[in-house]
Amino acid sequence: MSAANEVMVIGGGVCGIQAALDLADKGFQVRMIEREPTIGGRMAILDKVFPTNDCSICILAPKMIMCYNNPNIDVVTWAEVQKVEGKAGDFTVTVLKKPRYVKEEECTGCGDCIEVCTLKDEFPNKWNANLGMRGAVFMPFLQAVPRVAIVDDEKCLTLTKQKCKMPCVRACKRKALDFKMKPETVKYNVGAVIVATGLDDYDPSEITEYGYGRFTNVVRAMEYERLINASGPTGGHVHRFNDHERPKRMGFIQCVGARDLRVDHPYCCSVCCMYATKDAMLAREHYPDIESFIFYTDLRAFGKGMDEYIRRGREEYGIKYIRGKPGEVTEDPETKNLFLWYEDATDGGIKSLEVDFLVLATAFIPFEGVENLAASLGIELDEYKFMKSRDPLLQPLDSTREGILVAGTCQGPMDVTDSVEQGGAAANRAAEIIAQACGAAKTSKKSATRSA
Amino acid sequence: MSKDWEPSILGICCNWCAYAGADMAGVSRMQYPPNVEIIRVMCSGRIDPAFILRAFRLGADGVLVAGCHEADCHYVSGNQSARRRVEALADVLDTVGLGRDRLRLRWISANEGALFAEGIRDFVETLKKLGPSPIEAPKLAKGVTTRTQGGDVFAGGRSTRNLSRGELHEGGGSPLRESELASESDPSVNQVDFQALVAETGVLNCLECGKCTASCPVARRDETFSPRRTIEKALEGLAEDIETDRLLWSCLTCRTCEQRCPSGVSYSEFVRGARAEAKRLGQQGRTSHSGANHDLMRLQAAPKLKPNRMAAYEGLKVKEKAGKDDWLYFAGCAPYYQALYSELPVQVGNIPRDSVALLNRAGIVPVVMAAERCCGHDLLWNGDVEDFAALARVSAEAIKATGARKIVTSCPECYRTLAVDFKEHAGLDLEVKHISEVLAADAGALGLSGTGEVVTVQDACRLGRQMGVYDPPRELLAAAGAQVAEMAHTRGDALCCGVSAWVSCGQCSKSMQVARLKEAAATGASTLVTPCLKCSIHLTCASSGELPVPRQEVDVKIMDLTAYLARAAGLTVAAEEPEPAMAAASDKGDA
Ligand SMILES: Cc1cc2nc3c(=O)[nH]c(=O)nc-3n(C[C@H](O)[C@H](O)[C@H](O)COP(=O)(O)OP(=O)(O)OC[C@H]3O[C@@H](n4cnc5c(N)ncnc54)[C@H](O)[C@@H]3O)c2cc1C
Ligand code: SF4
Ligand code: SF4
Ligand code: SF4
Ligand code: SF4
Ligand code: SF4
Repeated sequence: MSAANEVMVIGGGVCGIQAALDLADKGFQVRMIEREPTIGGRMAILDKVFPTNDCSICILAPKMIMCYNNPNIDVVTWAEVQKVEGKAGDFTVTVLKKPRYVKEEECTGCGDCIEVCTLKDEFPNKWNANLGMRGAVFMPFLQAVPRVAIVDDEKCLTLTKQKCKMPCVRACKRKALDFKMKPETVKYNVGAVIVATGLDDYDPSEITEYGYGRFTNVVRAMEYERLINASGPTGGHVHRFNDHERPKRMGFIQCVGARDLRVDHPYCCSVCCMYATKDAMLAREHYPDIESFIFYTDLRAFGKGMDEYIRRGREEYGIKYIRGKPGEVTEDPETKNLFLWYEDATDGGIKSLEVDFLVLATAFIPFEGVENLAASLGIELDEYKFMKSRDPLLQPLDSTREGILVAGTCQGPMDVTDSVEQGGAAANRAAEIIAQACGAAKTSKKSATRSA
Repeated sequence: MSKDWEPSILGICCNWCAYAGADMAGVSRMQYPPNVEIIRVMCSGRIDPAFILRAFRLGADGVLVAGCHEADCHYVSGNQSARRRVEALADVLDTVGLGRDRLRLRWISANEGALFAEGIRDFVETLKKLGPSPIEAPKLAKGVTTRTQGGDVFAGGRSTRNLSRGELHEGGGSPLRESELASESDPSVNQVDFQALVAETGVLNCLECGKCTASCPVARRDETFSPRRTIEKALEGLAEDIETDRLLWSCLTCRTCEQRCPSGVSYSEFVRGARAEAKRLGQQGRTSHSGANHDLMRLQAAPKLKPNRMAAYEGLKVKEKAGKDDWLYFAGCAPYYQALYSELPVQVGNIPRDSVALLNRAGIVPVVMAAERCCGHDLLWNGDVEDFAALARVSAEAIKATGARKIVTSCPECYRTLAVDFKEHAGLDLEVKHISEVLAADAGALGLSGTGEVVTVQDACRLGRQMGVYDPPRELLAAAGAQVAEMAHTRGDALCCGVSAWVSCGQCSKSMQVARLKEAAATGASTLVTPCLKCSIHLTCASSGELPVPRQEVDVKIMDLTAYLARAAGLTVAAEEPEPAMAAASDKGDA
């Protein structure tokens, strides 16, 4: 197969999946490189998604499976891009495949090894926002794709100190575990690269006035998504961490670490006003008597259906929106309830609102390690470490290096709809780049004049 | 000294005895030199140290305080207060370089006209020997005079003095200078400056989120105060509204709001600039303690004044001139405040001594300046930019003369001022460090022995939020074997001591101080260690006064960081516990 026919998609979130599927439909070969053991990205661990309030994994899982099973797509998980050489139409990409210690072809995802692991449920699971536990051999979540276990080589007793009776090996009927696996370096020849490495959510511990990490019942939105999720650590029952009672009055604080010059995130994340409304709606759907108070700076609800969504939140779900950013949060040492101190812009004066649970809508930030990836790709980042577009207006998907495209939340905050659109658009752009490269090789005058 | 120089004396006499005595002298046509101008107050107990310091600042060569004989006070014990204050002030005058002999206390009854006349004669003789005050009367705009004119002062015992009552009583700044009057007549200058201030302090970025107000400890206690609203006015260009509002002086410039503002609005710097503008517009502003502290600073701007602060360093290793790597130790106002607030159980007088002892232990022989002057921080933050700059220039010259290239100070305010404001106003650009930073760099050398106590730390606003120093004091306390328990509000979120730059002190301050002490006591710590002498004074003031809560809720010992460390290093004999004078009287429970 010639390089010209093949596209690499880095990152298997909803954006990367869309790009891969579209390219496969056009007859291109796709290599999807995902650095985690599963594809799906952020959306795989959200509960519901605005604006439709569809179950997130329910709409994403079919796409994940379609992607994995598509004969034109080779999904390479637990792998990282190390180097990109060559030029548009003819790149050589060096990829490091990390050992999973479980043979992907053999493992059926039965979970028998997981059940018997000596270290079962010893470590926080990051796919559960660290609220649920996992063992040394584990699967990130139920609907992981591929549905294959993985051994954590930093934790496993055999791999770290040769000190385990290896019940996992004995439990596995398919003899899928293989502790002799070694890292592997592979070179792929591709015509174009789509980067769709997504986002991370900001850890607000340094915003000390809101008490995250200090006060028992303060969580960030990502944690809340897991708590209210039926497959989350609490089976979808939101509860307080001190007394396991369900909350009755919830507070939300918006723009935490976003639009905030102190932490060098002056940008708006464009999604959190909406998802906070969603989160408060979900709470009401679970518990009809719950009250929610959203403290916002500005309600950013632009685009189709968004303002209407907020209005529904107010009118149908009884969400109370309060303009103002609380100055600080204090905790009642006994009840572990929280007091939100805010300036009442309508009446004047400072008020405090008592809530029993607090959700912080934290900023979107670029994925950890993004600088290394950008360096291997030879592309530039913007001042906040989002992937830089060559021209934000007219070539939003082109990176600063010809033939490499950037799509989805790796280039700036956006919601699922926009990420999917960008994935699709990036697929088209990749096809175009390859067509041009082929055209150029055939020395066609016409196509050579149009450069990306 | 010119041949015909005559000392000018301000006499402050109580209505019932001393003033009547002076009247008696006049009526009886007793001869005494015309060098004195008299102000009458109802009781010598009403004589605020501020009156005396202001008289000296305005150029008086001597001040006579006169009241009823002891046991004869018409208000029972006012004269005893006067005695305590004058005695404390005498120490201040010695240190600051005026000398205690320029201040006199006399008990004179209504029929002791002769005693009064004799007292004045004698005082004039003394002052003639001392010579003119090293502080010159400020040059004033036409029509405003402060210096006594002599001659016609006494006519039938009535004073026609020029030193107006207003000036002594108002908490405000210096009398208007010609330049100030000039700028006042051109309002456009003010608008331009105001717009620049708005731009420089980031006010234009405000999102009006209200987080500042909601964070502000003053706003929490005073509904009428809102930094967000002030910012809004600033955005609307309502300069005068802001500058004439007395709430401008309520801000503590503690930077809690700023620490939390997402938009980088520097409210404290905005306030500082607006206060300077307000002063230029002729606003008096506000000061606690009738401005005594500020006048003490202003008078130190006199270049001829020679303070003498060496007594603090007796027996310690210090230098006068700096070698290449020598530190200059800058002590700040500690000795003055120890004297001025001696009626409170404050313990700040030993800070310079403990600091140098600790530096010595760390192998550092610092340069000290006998004639060290106050840094002027409080003038600057009170809007008195010119007075600050005048003082800073004199200090900067003296610092340069020592040859030192780096300064270590035990005072957070001196730290900020020397590091930031001296650069701008006096062209002094040296490395400056807080003593906790210097000592923490080699805490092992201090030979601290384990106190084993649980302590808590006050993060002073100048040291923490302004200069970003949080860890060194904690490291040193840990090195001293103390276990540091953190208060509910700590580090960047720490609650301010309620008064800053001696600008305002009132119910709000007291409420903050009590809140802070409660937080400290709630940690279970025996001692609240503070790196700032002002925090120490203000918190001590609250804890030794009447309390709105049961005493055990605020029961924590307050100690300066240097004192704590010096004790742990065996450099001090454990100081006797100050008796909380009012403890018994004011335990009113929840009342
Ligand atoms: C709390 C929260 C709630 C939200 N709620 C909603 C909602 O209700 N509705 C909505 O529309 N949007 C919502 N969003 C936004 C939504 O999650 C994103 O728009 C969407 O997931 C972005 O998709 P993506 O593919 O760009 O990135 P991601 O989903 O982040 O996927 C990126 C993928 O790239 C992989 N990757 C990263 N680095 C590398 C690398 N170096 N090499 C290889 N692979 C790499 C990651 O492992 C990941 O699988 C929410 C976001 C948050 C944080
Ligand atoms: S070998 Fe590793 S994965 Fe298997 S049971 Fe032991 S610790 Fe768990
Ligand atoms: S989307 Fe809303 S909550 Fe998020 S940063 Fe923007 S304004 Fe703040
Ligand atoms: S916190 Fe900052 S942005 Fe918010 S209202 Fe105050 S000054 Fe404006
Ligand atoms: S500086 Fe302190 S006192 Fe002044 S407005 Fe800000 S928080 Fe309030
Ligand atoms: S707290 Fe006490 S010492 Fe401090 S300013 Fe107020 S009255 Fe003076």
